[in-house]
Amino acid sequence: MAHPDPGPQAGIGEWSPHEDFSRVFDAHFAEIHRYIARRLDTQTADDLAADTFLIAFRDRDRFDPARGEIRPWLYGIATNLLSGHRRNEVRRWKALSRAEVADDQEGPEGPVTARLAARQVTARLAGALAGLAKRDRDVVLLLGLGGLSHAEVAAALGIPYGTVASRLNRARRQLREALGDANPLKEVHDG
Amino acid sequence: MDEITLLGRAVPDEPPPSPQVVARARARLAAEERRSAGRRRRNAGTTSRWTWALACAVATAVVAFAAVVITGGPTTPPPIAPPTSVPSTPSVKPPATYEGLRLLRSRTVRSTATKVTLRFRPTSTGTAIVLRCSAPGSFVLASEPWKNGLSEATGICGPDGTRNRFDDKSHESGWAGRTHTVTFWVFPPDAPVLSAREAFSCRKTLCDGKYRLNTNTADAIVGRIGKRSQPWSVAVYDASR
Repeated sequence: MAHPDPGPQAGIGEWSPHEDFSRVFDAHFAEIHRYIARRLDTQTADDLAADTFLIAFRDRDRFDPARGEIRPWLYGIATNLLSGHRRNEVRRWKALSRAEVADDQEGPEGPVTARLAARQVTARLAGALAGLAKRDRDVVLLLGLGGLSHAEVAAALGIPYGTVASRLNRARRQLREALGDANPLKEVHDG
Repeated sequence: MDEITLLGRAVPDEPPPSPQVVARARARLAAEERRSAGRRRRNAGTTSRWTWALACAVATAVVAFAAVVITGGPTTPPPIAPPTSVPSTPSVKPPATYEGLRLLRSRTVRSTATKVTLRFRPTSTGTAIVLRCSAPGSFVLASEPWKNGLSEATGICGPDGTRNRFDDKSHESGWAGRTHTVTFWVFPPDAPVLSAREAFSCRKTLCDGKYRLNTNTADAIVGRIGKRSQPWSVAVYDASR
């Protein structure tokens, strides 16, 4: 599974959404679509990613480059839209955790080591994500899937930097507990 | 590597959006840009009319009151004129199969701001409901009677075939083996419909001249825009027996 690709980076200062919005679309549509698809599903992402750019276009006069860049602004809009699908998202994480566990129990004939461990990690993380408070999950997934920095997450969600840190600490603790024995980080530290 | 990096790697990746999806989103954005340009031109025009109207407010008060009584009050927005240019029309004919599923029922309609009702009895929970609209970015409303009320869903469709979110219902219990009666409405992309975000912040049926899209407001929207010659189709696909 690949790292989140931050997508083409717009040269901030060279252009703005006030001038040519199609460039904003070209630079970030695929990235926003991917973020939504990983949290929900591809079909819903088709609609919500388009909605994200429509909303951004309608609100473009409110975009203030002094308060942050375009990427976090778009991620913030997408995350707001995702809040209307909270139940579906939780259902997805739960299904992912069950599916991965079921795969693991298929039998000993498959590759046992690395792939199995990776599946177990995915299952446990998905289960933990389902159990996180929505506000904590947003922070974790903007960092983990969106590849945003702490400051960008703060700008995207319109919350102070310190709040991002406290939500992240709380979420990290839960993720670590969920990983338990399957925690590859633990192996690294122990080794 | 910390938990967040691990998470980024562990969550399954998704394929990039198809060219059709990108084209449809771009078309919706382009339509919004055109609408926005039109609104700005109209607003520039209304500035002088407002100045004029303010000066004549007292003189026209009686006339305005009469107009309000006749037309049903100031809450009734003015009708929206259809676009004058008619682009070439993509085919919306439903194919016989869709992702390995067989065609169960379909209807093709010549105009938007219209509805059709389909009755079908799926045998599987993998039912797909595919809407194809010649006008990219058309609004879709699907509704089915459910527990003394209506189960409704809205979405967007284009010519390449957009699976309306309504088919998520097929994964709910009690879907297969019973007859469904689902009504589908399709409205053109410039219909006065609140976006998801606008609907979230608007607690009323009508905000800024745009309606919350549901069965109760569908007729009012039709009343404002009228039927448009924009073919669309709806097809229900089900797993083979």
